[in-house]
Amino acid sequence: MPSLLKRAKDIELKLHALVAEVRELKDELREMEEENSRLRTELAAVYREGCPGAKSSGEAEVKYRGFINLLDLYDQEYHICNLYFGRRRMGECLFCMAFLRKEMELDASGEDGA
Amino acid sequence: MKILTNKEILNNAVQLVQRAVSIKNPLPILAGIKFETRENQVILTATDLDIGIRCSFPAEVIVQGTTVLPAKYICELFRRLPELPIFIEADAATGSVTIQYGQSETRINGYPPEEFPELPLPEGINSFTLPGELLKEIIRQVVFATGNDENRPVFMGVLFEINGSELQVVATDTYRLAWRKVIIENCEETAINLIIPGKTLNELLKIIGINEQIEVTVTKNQILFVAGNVWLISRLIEGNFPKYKQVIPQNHILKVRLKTRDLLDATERASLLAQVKSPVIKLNISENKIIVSSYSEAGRVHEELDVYQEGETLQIAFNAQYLGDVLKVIGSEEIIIELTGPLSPGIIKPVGDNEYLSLLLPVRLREE
Repeated sequence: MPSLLKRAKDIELKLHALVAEVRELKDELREMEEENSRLRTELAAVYREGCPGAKSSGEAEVKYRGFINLLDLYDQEYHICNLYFGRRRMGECLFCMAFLRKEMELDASGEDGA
Repeated sequence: MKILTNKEILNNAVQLVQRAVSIKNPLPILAGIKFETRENQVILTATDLDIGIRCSFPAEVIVQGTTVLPAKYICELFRRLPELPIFIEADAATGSVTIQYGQSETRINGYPPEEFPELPLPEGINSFTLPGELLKEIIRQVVFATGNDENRPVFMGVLFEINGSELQVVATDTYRLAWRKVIIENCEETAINLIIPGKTLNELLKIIGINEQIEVTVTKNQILFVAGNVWLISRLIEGNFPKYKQVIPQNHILKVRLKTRDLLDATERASLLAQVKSPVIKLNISENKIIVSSYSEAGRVHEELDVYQEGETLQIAFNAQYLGDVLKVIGSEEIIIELTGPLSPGIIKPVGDNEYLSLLLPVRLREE
């Protein structure tokens, strides 16, 4: 049976190792969070580009595709509202629906105008 | 401190303030109720640092002083005291408190009163009064729609938007939304927005009476409600409430008018047999009828209600619990439901009243 002091020292070493591991995990977590938020911003940018679309004859189509993309994203259970864009969605969201409705009305009025 | 009082007054006051006692808080003193005397008044205070409740009552004060007693024991003890004059005497030197009734006594060890956090009454920046009955109604009609996700604190509160004499109250958890508008009298011309925690309002519901005026005082980060001899102080939720007006659909394709009670009863019966986890009920609206139905492994419900219908036919599904929540608080005999489509939020409002509405997102029906 090792002495109490020895056992305490062993535990101390283990704790040090554990703390080091936790620190490592924290670093990795931070990196992932940063990447996640970067990806979210990128995603938002891509969708934004998709919406206003090119001028000329393809405009309506591009706009429509932008809307479909958003709808797809919403269907894949992500928020598309400005509050939580790109975050996982649990159930429906009033703000996403309002955004979709606005987009749809814009599309409709655009078609009427054409 | 030494006071003479009776069981009823004492018990009522303790039961009232103990709602704010925090047992799980790492600060042990918060598990206590503070007793302090001011001339011939005794003031009881409890707080969990988010909200604080204070109640005063008249008593015969023999020696002025302050003490803090553990809520856990005195709540139970005071409830069980005999109907006799009750002496409470605190020994400042030892911190022990003697409660005397008839020929008996109980001695409880108190907390050091100087450790109890100060509960500063906010200096009024803005204040107004509301009849207790109206405030209760407003809270009840809206507070059910608050969320409980701590990552989104703004949705755990209720927005009070005061603009001149118009007060608009809104809550949403992003699945549903409830909105109420009232005109408040004797309010200074102000424009303030504040988000009051839903928990605070639920506590307020329990402590305010119908026949009293509630004084409301607002500061930058706190709100104080005074109802007679009871104060409730709460912190406010910081942050911006999202623009909610945009989520309310303006055009509808279908409008039905029906008796609130009929739909509530049918909803409650149908939800009995709906899936327990997500109690979904289906509404089939056509030819001046709503067919309410639900089914699960347990069985099925099919109910027909006569309604007054304007517009297209529609099949839509709602969470029965959420639908029931609205119908219970809407407070009008008849309601109007306006629908924009099977996926857009439905609007539920009282007939002939533009001061209240509730939005509810439908549940998507899986293809069968």
